[in-house]
Amino acid sequence: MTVNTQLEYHERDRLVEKAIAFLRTLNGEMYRGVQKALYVQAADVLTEGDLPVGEFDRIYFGVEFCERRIPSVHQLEKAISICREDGKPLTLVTPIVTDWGLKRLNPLFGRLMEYDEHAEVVVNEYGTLMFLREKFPSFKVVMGRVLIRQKKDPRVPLIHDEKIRGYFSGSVLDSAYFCKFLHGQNTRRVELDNLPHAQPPQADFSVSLYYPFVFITTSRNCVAETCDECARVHYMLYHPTMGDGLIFYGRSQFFVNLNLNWLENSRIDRIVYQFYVPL
Amino acid sequence: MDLVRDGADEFYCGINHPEYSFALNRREMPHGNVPTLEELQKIVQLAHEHGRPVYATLNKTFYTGPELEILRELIDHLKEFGVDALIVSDIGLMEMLRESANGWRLHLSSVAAPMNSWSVKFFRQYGVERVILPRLHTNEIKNIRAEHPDLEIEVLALAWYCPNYDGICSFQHDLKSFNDAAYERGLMDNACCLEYQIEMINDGDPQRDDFFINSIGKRFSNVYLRMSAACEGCSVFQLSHSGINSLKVVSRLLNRQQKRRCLQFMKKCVDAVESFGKESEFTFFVKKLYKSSFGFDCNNNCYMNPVKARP
Repeated sequence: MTVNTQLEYHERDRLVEKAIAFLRTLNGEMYRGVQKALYVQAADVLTEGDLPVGEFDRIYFGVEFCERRIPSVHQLEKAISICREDGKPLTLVTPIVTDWGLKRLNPLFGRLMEYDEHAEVVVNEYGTLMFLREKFPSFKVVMGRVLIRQKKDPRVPLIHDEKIRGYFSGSVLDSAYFCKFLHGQNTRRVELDNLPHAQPPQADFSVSLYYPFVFITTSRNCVAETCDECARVHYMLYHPTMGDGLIFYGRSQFFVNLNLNWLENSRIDRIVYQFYVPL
Repeated sequence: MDLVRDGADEFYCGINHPEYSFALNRREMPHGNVPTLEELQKIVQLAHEHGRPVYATLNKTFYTGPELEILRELIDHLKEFGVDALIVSDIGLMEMLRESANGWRLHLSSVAAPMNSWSVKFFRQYGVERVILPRLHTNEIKNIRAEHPDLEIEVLALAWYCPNYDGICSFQHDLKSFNDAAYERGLMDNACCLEYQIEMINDGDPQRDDFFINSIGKRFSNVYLRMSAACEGCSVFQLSHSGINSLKVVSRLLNRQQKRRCLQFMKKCVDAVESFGKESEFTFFVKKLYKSSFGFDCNNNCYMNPVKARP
């Protein structure tokens, strides 16, 4: 399958500027000890010179939502090669998958195993978790933001009643039974969205925070007829209650939150910077 | 029990908790749930008199710790009333039920998004006996059936058309009930029902604008941002060869007459399917049946249609 470079490729200069601005933001005392991870969906992005890849501590590579856009082994090879040269750890991100998608992931897991049998793999679906536990048990499994459920409706801050707003600020990590499950899976890291209305989780896990795209929902239905078409178009949905608008890309919807306002007194020790709107 | 006569072999419902103001299942609207425990007890009793089981939905996308404590007490009542199974989705709840070892029969809700045979295997660790699948292609369903020959499989047959994965979507249903003033302005409807101003962003090639606006833009409006009843009548042909055990007619927010109409329609589809050798002939039959059942032509608002278009 031929897939064009990402939608915003023509605005690469602007994206690079944004990435640099992000890095500057994290230079303050408050962020000391917070890892900076760069998330890309194509390894080529890493090799085009102007992006300050060296200033990030870790590379995230893969897709979260669309099994059709799972990268090839060749792309993974490239990402591995870059990480090896730069001495950076690699995290492979996996999407929501059917059996078809899981078959496509299998060779990626095999190649990653050759590179680092203790590599991090982010899972966003329980079948992938089960598969890894049986076939590749040495990987460090990270529970992705699809599985660490939060109430993410962008309209929550509009609710007047503080008590009700509080109800919407929690996550599945507030459940001791869910945390028990995570411990049973030997999971030490979970991933969250940077919600404006969320409370920092108190559970005993390392936490990654995705920035700046907050994931809201995804679908099996794809507006685009082809992946090539998907790569070339997205939509902004505007509504008076939806702030600066929703981004509809591929099968998924997001909003942007540029404020990192709940880092203090939390267990967040990694920020995952997404260079493009994620897939 | 009109619904039994209309062909319902089993029933499911959610319950409003008398002292908890938030929903305890994925159907957040209070009128979509049984209002009281007393009412539920009567329903179970009546259904059992007709030899029909009743399943209770406890299928929120996730439960917090305090909510699980509320559920613990509620579940004791459900047991006492003779509810036949719990429809669950949250791992925390499943962990709690496993710990309590109280012998519940568990059905896995589509809200848990069991997308593949490995995720079904994962959830079966909790003793799940039936899986209600999310929107999957029939070939994908067949694959799950092949890997799990002893599993009960259920799919949604008539449902509200929401294009998103139900369990993965984190928009909040019924937000308007928490914010009366905004509701009055019509702003807090479900996110998939709002009237958005849509702007299309493409890859910067102005020559492509016309193409995008004329084709993709139109498709976008048609596929997304419309929420109406979706039907899976024609798919009964394929589903009948996929090893399905149960079809769910989603009707908790419908009135009795609407419920009956949906049930009668789907029952006729199921009863008729074996007499058709060709899918095209069955589809023709279903479309005619649709019109006679609902009073208007089928608008091709198929629950799984977009999935079928891209196998």
